[in-house]
Amino acid sequence: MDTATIVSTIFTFALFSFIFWKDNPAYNIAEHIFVAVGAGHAVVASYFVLKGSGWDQLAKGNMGVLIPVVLGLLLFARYFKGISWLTRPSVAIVVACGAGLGLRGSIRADFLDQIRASFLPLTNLNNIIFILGVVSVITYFFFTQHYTRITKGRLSVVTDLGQYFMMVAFGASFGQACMGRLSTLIDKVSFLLKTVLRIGV
Amino acid sequence: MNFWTKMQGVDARIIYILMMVAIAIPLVKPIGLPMRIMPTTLQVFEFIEKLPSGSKVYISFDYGPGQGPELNPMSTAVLNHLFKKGLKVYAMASITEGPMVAQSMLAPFEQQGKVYGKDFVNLGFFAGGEAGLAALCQDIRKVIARDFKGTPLDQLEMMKDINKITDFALGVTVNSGPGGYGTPEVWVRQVPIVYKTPFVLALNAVMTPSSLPFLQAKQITGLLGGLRAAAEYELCLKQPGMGAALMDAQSAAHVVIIAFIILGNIAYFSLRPKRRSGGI
Amino acid sequence: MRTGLALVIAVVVGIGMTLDYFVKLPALNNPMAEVRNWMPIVTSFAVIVGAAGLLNVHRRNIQRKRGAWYNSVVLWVVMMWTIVWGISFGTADKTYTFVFDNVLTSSSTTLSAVGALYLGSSAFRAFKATNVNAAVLLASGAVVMLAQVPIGEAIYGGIPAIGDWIMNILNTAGQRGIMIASGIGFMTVCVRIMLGYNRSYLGSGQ
Repeated sequence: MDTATIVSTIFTFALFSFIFWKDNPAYNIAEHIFVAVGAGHAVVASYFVLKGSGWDQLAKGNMGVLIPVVLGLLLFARYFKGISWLTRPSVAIVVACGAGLGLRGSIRADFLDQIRASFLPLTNLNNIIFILGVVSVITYFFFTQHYTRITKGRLSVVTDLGQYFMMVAFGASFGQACMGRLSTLIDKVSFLLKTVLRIGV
Repeated sequence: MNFWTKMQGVDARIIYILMMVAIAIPLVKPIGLPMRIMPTTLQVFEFIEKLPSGSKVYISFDYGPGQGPELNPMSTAVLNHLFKKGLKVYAMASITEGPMVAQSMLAPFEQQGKVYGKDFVNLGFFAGGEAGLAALCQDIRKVIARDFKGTPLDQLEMMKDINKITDFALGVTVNSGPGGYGTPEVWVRQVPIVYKTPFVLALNAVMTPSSLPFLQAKQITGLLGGLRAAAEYELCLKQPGMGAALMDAQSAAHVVIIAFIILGNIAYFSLRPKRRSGGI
Repeated sequence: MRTGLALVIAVVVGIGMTLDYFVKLPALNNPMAEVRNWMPIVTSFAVIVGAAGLLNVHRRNIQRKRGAWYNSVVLWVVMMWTIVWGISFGTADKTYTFVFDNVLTSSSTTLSAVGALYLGSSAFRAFKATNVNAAVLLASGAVVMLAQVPIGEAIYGGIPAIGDWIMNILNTAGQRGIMIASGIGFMTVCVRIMLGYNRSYLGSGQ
């Protein structure tokens, strides 16, 4: 067994040990090493972004880069009690940028284009069911009372139908989620069979 | 204490072992069940098949190593197709682990003779989430200064005519919906909606149901969902790989989960009358 | 001043960024493009601030010898090694790649696999059809699960077609309704941020 396999196997067993022995030193150490490598890698990746887009640009004389560098450095103010308010402009600009970009894309992506695509010809049963589904789900969200989740009168038929469509959608997501999770388990079982037990896969 | 009450109290570790044994059996003794190819997978395959040789395609590896078992077969199948067609591949990532994943996916092709800088390039991580993506779409060099190996982009032959997102013939994101960064919705909002460029979502299974509306509304060119789509893509290429090999084990795993759900519900309903009368 | 400046920035940038898409005016488009170019730098600093916070928490554990503080020592050592080695030799370096592939990848996939085992246990204990909604959810989930794998077609030839119908018609209709409704909610939150009504990102008491 080569070093790579030995290291992978150690970490696999250490983390799997949680399901059999709950919190134990091997699991804790493996988990902390995993978090350390992950967080360390994020710092390294961010450093190279700052180097390429920040310091290198400043070295070339592009002083415009000074503004985002200062905004970024202001974020460290959160660790100093008296001046923690200095982080607010940086956070505000990031949040506002995200809100502006999200809004302009969302108007078409999540709203207009989706409504337009729901206008299907009522020529077959599938289209009729589809339109009923979209309308009933939207009705559920718009006409359900905020805290009691009760709708009044005849509209409750439509909102109940909307609930069933949502349950089918959530069921489909659940089925797909199972598939995704199980594929990682299959990968691990395959790894253990091939590398530890040397059983051909 | 009746049978169903004992069943409800069974140690969870027994369930875990049963699951692992059920998965191990088809891995050791494959069944080889036939599989049909879904229209959504065929749609992506046919689009790439029609791209002329030399076309430039970017792939964003927006998944961490934890989602590798599900998305690596898909990445490999798509990369296989792109290289077979003689297309130029530009790898990038909106999450920090993405470039490392991309490198491990591209390494086998380099060993097969594909040349870095001529056939493919790894542009590395672009920061900033949605804002970074929006900036990258307008001017790649404002967001990515150097590639994964540290070479300035202007020194790469493949980057000669590439300045913005519309310079590519196709974009693909292999995406697990990483929290806060380049989720599928972010890519759809910022790329195909704004620039009307061909775009494919290659997603893990859990993201697929919520992304089907994008496909139905023709906002994206195609959608590949989960390990199943990876296996189908391999069949389209007539090169069965990891995806196809794991489908038997996937079948067994699904049957086990459904069996557990059914057994659990039988136990629940058979115990319910006793519970109502305060029997247990 | 402490909140006012941040609010002014939020309003100006938010509205400017939205209008930038609809209005072709260099006096608006160029500054907004520049602000977008700043985001990778600011968010990279944010990642480093977050990592510093993590190190700070574990430093306190070590100082106060709290609980299993030796784990915090391990974290500090490994994280500092990763950062120093990564910055010195780059992420394409062989040793760095070895650690990434065999520690991070292996651990990530194992933790995911542990989640899958819990799924099995939950399937047995918790996924009960206690009412009509739950029954519909479980039934559609089971059919979709079977339709996704070859054994579904082997059990009954019509399962893949039923699964496709559930995904393409029922699921897509439901997901679209959710998308439209949540899209309106998302747009509302964006507008509230841009108008300065939503100030939760400014910290407590705002």
